[in-house]
Amino acid sequence: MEKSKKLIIQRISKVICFLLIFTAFLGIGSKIFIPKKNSTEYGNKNYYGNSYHGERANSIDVVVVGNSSAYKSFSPLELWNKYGYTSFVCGAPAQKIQEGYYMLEDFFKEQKPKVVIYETEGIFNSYGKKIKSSYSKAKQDLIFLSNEIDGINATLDVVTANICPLLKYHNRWSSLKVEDFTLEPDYSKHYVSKGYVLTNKIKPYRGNKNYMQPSDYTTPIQYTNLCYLNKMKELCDKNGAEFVLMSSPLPRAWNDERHKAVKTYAEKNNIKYLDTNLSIDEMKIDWSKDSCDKGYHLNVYGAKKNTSFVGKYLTDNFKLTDHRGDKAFSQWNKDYKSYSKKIKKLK
Amino acid sequence: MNFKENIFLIAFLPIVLLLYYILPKKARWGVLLASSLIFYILSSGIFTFIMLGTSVTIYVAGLLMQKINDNFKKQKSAEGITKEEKKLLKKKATNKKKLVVLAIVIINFGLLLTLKYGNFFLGMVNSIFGTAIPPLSLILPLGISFYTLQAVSYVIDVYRGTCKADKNFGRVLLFVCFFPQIIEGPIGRYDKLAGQLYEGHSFDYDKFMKGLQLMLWGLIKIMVIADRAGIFVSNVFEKIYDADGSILLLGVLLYTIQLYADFSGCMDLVKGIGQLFGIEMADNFKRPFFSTSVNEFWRRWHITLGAWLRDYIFYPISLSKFFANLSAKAKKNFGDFLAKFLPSAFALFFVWFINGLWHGAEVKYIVYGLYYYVVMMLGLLFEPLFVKITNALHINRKSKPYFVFQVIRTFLLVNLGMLIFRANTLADAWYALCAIFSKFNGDIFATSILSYKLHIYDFIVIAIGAVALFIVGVLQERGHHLRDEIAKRNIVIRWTIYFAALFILVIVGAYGEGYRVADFLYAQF
Repeated sequence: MEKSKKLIIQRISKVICFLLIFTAFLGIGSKIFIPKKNSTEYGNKNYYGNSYHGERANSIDVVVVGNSSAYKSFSPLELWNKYGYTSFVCGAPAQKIQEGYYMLEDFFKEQKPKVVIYETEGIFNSYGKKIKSSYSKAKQDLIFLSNEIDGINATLDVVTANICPLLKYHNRWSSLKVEDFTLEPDYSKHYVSKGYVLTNKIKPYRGNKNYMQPSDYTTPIQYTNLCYLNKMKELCDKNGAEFVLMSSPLPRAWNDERHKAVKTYAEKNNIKYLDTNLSIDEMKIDWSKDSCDKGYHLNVYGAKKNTSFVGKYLTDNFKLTDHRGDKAFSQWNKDYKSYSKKIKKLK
Repeated sequence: MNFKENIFLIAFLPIVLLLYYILPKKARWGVLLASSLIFYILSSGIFTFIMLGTSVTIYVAGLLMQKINDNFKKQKSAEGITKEEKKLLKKKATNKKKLVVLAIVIINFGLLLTLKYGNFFLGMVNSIFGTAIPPLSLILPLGISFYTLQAVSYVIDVYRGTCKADKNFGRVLLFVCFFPQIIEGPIGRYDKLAGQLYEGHSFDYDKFMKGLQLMLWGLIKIMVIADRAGIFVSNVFEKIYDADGSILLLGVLLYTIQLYADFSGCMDLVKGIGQLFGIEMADNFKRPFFSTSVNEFWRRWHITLGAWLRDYIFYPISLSKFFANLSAKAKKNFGDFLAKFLPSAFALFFVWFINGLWHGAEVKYIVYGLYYYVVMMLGLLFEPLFVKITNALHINRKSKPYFVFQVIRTFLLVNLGMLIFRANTLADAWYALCAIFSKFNGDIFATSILSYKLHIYDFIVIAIGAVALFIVGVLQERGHHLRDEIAKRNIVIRWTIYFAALFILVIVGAYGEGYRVADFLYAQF
């Protein structure tokens, strides 16, 4: 009996030691593998979305969170030029809603935005298969279930990568530099575009212009995504910011089925919702010129129109300050000049 | 749910393990059944009823056959019954049982054929008769190709008397849907697996640790080698007509490595998970690339499928009365060699046709199966000639160089099979094969190899991985039991090995940013 007790204690101790060493490895590994600067040379592929660390603390009024639909549709410097509001796009390619949430959480550590806008395409496109109204009910349910599993899995992926950055940046193993072992992370590098990804490519959208035509079907929102939308709202409430949902003009990705899903959710939770797809004519979006990839995203010309429209919406609905004459915000004027030069150069 | 995803590894599996070991032994099989059903429902939703339907049919069939047997025994032991009457009763009982088996085979294979091959046959009908019947919206329930074979084997085994019919439906259901085996097998047998599943195992520290080690090895195979090689393979086969012959050759070789690492890695994972519960599952791989013939390769690759086809297709056909008569006639007219060859040739045709078709509803899979059939038949036919030639050339067929020659020859033949298997169409496979010989340019290889989304370091990782697989294979072929041998070493060496394996998986694994969680390759079949 004594012997077996001893054996059990010995084995438990071994397991604990093993796990401790492994945890230490993950911790040290994370310190080494995390990019030391906010640039691609240092392994930070999404440097633009992360560049809010390079902004003056508590200087941003509006933050837009989302995937490529966000960072290609909304240009903070256009908003600055026309309305004088400071804004930033916390985006990443194919950003999952969970990633957006944790990015926003981090954003709040340095900034106190009055308005947080979530670009809604990420609610439907972050993972999983598309559910089409033409599918049978059984098939729709199966895809919904499968997407739900993917959603939970994505949450676990994002949470574990948040706790242990080594899991996120392990692919840097082949490009590690000496600095990775010596430097502390410093993301204060300032970027002009404030999270916006500029492209002047024109690839016209020639599909159905009436892509928002009413449908009887409403696309279901995955529970995981609903849960993170609620969490985002709570986070905004906690930080004194207004949470707004926004759908950018995306004829290839947006439709009435999705619009209704978001609208229902927004109404139920008393959240403001702006769907700019319903105001294409008012914005004067020209699909022969304003898309960079046949209707999946806007180019700089489309983003300019969309941002201007969003600016008007912000003016009508929120009391935001025009900072254009404020010396504390002079850097924004400089950034706008650089941004304009860049656009001219592209032409 | 995929075995290499976080949701399985850090949520589902630990919860099931915890429940399994904290509940009393008698209730443990219930944990396995409940978790298997949850796993299945999460993957197949409402279509779980198809798997349940299969389980019900084989359960009822088993009981029916048992009843027929019992009745026969009762009638047989009745007083005053003659030998002739006994024979007649036995014949009647056998016929009844045959009918039950036939019904089960028709129902379950009918279901599989409809769901998996429905649109394939519809396409054939359309092209033959010029009709335009639209494709059906069919959904393939998880693991249907695997569990159907397993379920039918239970019924045939009860018919043959290899195992008794189980009166407990839960036990039959667990045998069909046990979650580790449902995605890619191995295709288990009732007499070997069901008892283990039902028996509540005590926690065995050593077995548990060995299970974890096997899982780690499987994950390394999949995530470090297979998923990485898969990126190159997918890109090459997507743009097959743009690629140089040298790239296509590398694509085929890497696909062979990918498929082996993925499938055998998944089997290590499955076996490892089984061992966590104290359950030993059947081996599906036995170092197939050390085979000296294609025949041997298939005895070492996907062993449980080969064994199923052998036991339930090959033997029933080759040992049937019809073939016994054919063999006798052939012996009279053509001699011993053909008398042996002809029944095998006929039976093997069905085996390889079904093997090919089982992999998918496409002509290329049938050709893939028949390719091995032709290679094996040619091997059998020309065997006497090969012996003569090697004797004439004074080649020792038991020498090491000849063994190496045989292994390389088999490897090349298998790679040709892999090309048929992986190419999108037969035309693509044929083009690639021709291009490997006619469009081979080393300069293009050097300049274009990095344009297939894989960094040079990735190629180095794959190469090191393949060498590691080879070395492990050589050691195992020499009779080493690596996990046991590592376990005997002192703690420093042991832990160094375990940590090295973990570090390799965490750092070099193809997961996270830039990688998509790939499905197991065999899960689609």
